[in-house]
Amino acid sequence: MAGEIEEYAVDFALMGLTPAHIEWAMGYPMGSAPDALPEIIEELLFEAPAHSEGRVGARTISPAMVELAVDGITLEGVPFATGRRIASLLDVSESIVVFAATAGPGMDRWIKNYFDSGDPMRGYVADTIGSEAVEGAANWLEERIIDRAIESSRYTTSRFSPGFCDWDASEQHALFSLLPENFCGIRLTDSALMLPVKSVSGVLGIGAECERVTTACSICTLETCFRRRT
Amino acid sequence: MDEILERIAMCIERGKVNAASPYPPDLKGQDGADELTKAALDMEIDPNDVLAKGLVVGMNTIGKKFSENKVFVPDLLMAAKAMQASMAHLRPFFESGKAKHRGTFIIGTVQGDLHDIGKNLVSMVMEGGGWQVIDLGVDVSAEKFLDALRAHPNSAIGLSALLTTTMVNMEKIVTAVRAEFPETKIIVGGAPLTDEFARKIGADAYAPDPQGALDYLVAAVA
Repeated sequence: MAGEIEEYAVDFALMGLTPAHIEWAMGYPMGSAPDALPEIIEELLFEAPAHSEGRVGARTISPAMVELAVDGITLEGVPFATGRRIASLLDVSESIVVFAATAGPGMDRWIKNYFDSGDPMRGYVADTIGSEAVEGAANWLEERIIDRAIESSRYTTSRFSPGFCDWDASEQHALFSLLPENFCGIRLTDSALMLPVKSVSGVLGIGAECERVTTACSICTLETCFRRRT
Repeated sequence: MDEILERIAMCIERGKVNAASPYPPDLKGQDGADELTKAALDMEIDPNDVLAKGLVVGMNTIGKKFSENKVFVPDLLMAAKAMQASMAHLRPFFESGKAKHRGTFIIGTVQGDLHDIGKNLVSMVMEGGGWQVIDLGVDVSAEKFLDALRAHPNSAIGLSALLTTTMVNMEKIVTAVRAEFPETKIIVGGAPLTDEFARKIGADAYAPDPQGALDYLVAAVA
């Protein structure tokens, strides 16, 4: 498999999670969470590092293997119908980075144990921590990519994932075909669900003219998304 | 009578489970849904009134606030915990037939999908709304829904999916259910769904949130 491949373990401490961040992720404006919640969040943020097995990785697709169109991109001959919005934000990219990140199978088990033991509140808090942990791991990887791009006078786009912004989740299979097998320990089900569940994947563009969108939600049509912040 | 039922509703809305529960702080030391429900039944208040004027009112109030983004999932979970403390006292009356459910609701996350938080929230709101809930879990096939309907033929069903790749499996389930149980009310829900999709696959309704599912079914069986 040609192209630069990188893979790292990411410590929980590098994922940048705070109690305030978890409250925000649940929808609460600063300081407005119900009284019982902060204590549970503190407790589970203390437990979470023992269950986190963060791994991130990326493969850079060189400019010669990137084709950009108005409604999608083609990477090494593999077409992706990203939709016009994402395609328009990638259209000044020179190279494209395909990435994946996971909080690991231990995080999934930790969350499930709470639900299975009849404690949906802790289950939900753990689930939120897991979701934010994997985003934090992906942020850590993205910052490395940004720093490296800046060193060569390049910029990056925001990152975009199948399942969001008109890009069908079924294209996960094509995306993972560009990565080594079992990349970061992630596998796909037939329905394109990533296992471990607390995993993310996607692409970002690198180029001299690339720009980031201020919030990904501003370009996404998924009005009912649980992560929507508008 | 009305005062104690209003207090049950308030305790459920605010997630006050019992007297030992320290939350919410302004109710610390006071009886919660657990003690008040027992007291109401000891006063020989009709269990159907306890359900309709206590539990249902409390869960409806928090469910509507959730729909309006005034409260979030943890608030709903705390309310559900209080509701379940009340429900434990009502359960014997359901079993003896003195209390009646509004109906039976069979719910599951469709085949190929393992997400269950949304489904569980709908289950809790439906139970608090007076419905008997049969939760089939996640990754549920059409055959499992049909088996449950054969066992409970007058039930409504709810299908949940979080992925665009799994919401397409809803159509197979709807088609199978319609073939054997054409009158069954079918609600679908989940982040990628829309009203348009629900209509296209032949479901009766799309519920954008748990209260939406409850409101639809209450109106449909009225």
